[in-house]
Amino acid sequence: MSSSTSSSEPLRLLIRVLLFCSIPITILGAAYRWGPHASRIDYMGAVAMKHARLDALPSPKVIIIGGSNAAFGIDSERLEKALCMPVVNMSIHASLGFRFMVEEVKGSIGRGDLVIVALEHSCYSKSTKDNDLHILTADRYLGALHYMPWYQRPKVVVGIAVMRMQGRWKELSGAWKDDSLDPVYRANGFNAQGDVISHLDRPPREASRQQAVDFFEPYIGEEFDPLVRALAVEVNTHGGELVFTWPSIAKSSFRSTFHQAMRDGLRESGFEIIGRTEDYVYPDTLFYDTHYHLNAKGRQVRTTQLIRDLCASAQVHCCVGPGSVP
Amino acid sequence: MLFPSFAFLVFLPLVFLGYWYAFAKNLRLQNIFLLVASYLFYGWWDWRFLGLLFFSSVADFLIGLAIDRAPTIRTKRRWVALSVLINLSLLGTFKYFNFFVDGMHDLLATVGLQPNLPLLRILLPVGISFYTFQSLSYTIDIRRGSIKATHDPIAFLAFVSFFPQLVAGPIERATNLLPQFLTPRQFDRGSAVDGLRQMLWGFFKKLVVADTCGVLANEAFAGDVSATPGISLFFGVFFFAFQIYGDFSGYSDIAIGCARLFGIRLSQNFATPYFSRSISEFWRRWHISLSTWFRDYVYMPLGGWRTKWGRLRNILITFAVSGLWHGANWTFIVWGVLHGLFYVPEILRNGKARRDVASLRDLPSMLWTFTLVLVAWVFFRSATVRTAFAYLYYMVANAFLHPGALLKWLARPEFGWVLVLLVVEWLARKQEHALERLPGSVVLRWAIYLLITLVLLLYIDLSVPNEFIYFQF
Repeated sequence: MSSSTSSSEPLRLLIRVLLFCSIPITILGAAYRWGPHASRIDYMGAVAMKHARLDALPSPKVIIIGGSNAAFGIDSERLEKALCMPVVNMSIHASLGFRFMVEEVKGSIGRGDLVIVALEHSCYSKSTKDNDLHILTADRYLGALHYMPWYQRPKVVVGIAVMRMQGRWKELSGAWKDDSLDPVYRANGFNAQGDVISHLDRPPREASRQQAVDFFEPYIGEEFDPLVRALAVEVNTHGGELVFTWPSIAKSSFRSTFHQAMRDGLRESGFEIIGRTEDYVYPDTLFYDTHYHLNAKGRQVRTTQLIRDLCASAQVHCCVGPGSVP
Repeated sequence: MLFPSFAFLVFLPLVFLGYWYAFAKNLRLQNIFLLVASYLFYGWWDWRFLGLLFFSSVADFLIGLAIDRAPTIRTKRRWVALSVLINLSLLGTFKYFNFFVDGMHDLLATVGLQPNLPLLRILLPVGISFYTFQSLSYTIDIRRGSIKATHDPIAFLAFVSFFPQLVAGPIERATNLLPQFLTPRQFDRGSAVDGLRQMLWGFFKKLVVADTCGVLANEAFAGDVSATPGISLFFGVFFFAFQIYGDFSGYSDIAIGCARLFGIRLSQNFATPYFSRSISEFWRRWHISLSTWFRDYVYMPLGGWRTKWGRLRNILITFAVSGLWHGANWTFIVWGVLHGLFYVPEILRNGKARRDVASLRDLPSMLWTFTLVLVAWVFFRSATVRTAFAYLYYMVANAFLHPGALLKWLARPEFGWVLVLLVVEWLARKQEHALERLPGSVVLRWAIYLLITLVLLLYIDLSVPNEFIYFQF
């Protein structure tokens, strides 16, 4: 091994390493261009359909943002009848983070729009999330990159290439089979408004799939308040209304301390969550798989309660009386 | 910041360029740059614990100076005692407080008392066990006269926080690492290239072997052991053995290789430990920097290696403490004590340590040692001592339940990767790392690099953060 003190040596080594890296980078580029999607499960692909609706709907309209609790557990058609406005349910997965959710609707809020926010607990503590869901989302809808922080974008693009390469390998090795596709978590499992409906006529998943919520410390993250305020400014600028509601949660996963922390956090930002906590805590039997995902019956119970709370709120104008919930 | 992460992929070349170009002309500036980079690396995980790292480093730097100036041995000892107190207090508070409170609670409960003892709800700072031990060895070594106290605070802080080995070792001695921060480093291309190779092999061990084996090990240890075939339980712990080896030795390879890019030589931490022919040899090859630390700072000061019984007692104490170092749980203590007990026959036989490398004729003794290590790993991996005993019991009791499961396990790709690891490391067992000696042809070498890189890309799991097991210790 030769020793050298030449000042160009480190740079020459780095260039050589980059030269070598150009080979796997080329392969990754090819995988990005010609490879299959990152995952056979195209659930996150529904983001594209939701955005098409968001862009097409005239104002005033209702925009629902949140995680999968709102995707699985709200009947937007009934909401449309109660509020006499078209609804777009942008909710899909809590792990995209509140920041992503805010960024994706911010530019599309129009005059008189009603924005309903139903966040899971994790969105309060960590607003910017960093996980493979962002890759899976951008893999199906590249526009989703705009809703991520700039520093996440290169990583997500590389992640798409890596996962597409892995997808090609799985195809070639036979690891991907059609029967591995999930009948519920798929892009065509949503209705026109953006609600998940593929689970409605299915029996609940076996007991092992009934996952209790894995809670961490109840706290409100530093990013939460500025994001809420930014969203409120955007809504107010257009003469709209911003309303917060509770997420649906199974009784066995309910922790009052967390709900209290959510309420306190929002109060500090100057907002109230409409309705009573206990009206959104349901028996475990009303859930389809995780303790956030309501089944058909639970979805109706929750939607009825949501409409009642919205109509009772001074911020929202309902076109039906409180006693005649559609 | 994790080694297998996009952030590190950007961080490393930038630090490399800054280190060799922007600050190379001035040693002090280069050390400041390295210090800032190391704190950034650590703070990426959680900046709130940077203060702890800084406090521990500054305390030992000042105590080091005080020891140097102290006029008498007695005063020097007092300063060392203070250093021990500070470092062990940090460890005690952040790592062991709840363990001891729980223990106290259980003890009082046995005499009918139900005290309401407070528990701390705090995160364990990553790498605290590593950097406190490294910092602590500095003050002890000054007292022993093995090293002079440094008057350069920047060099010392950079020595304690050097990012490649900060969070999971190797636990460096000041005698080896500190002088490298006090003298100008020169770029050695051959050494840097070898470092890159070692990093590549480390990533292979971590991402391809450890992370894939880990999935199977987790399933085995999380399942209902009473209904699981014994062969599946055996493979559960077998895969855990390769998960922890691939994970930890992979980290060490990446750390050592990364340090070489900066002209810094770290100590070897693993030397194909699963080819050991005895438990004592295993401990000369597994987590070498920790076992030598315990040898020099716990076992030797206990002073009883002169007689057989004294040696026996001190071995057991040292292994128990080593177990406790790994975590605040009885499972780790039992794991340590078991290794101490496995040592006993060797002490009684008074056998001489074998320094040569193993050959195929040594296969029976290697398999026997590996079996003992596996038994101990069951305790290390289990949530409680009770579940560990249950795991071992059902491994034997269910030995003939679905014996056909053996073929299923042998056909798994993870087993294939373990075989690849074993074959490559067997062929390279005389080397410091598996890719140290490669064919002379550039095309062939690049083909090997490319093959490993493509396997890494195919196996990296982007749905998990790829954290290292030893971060929690």
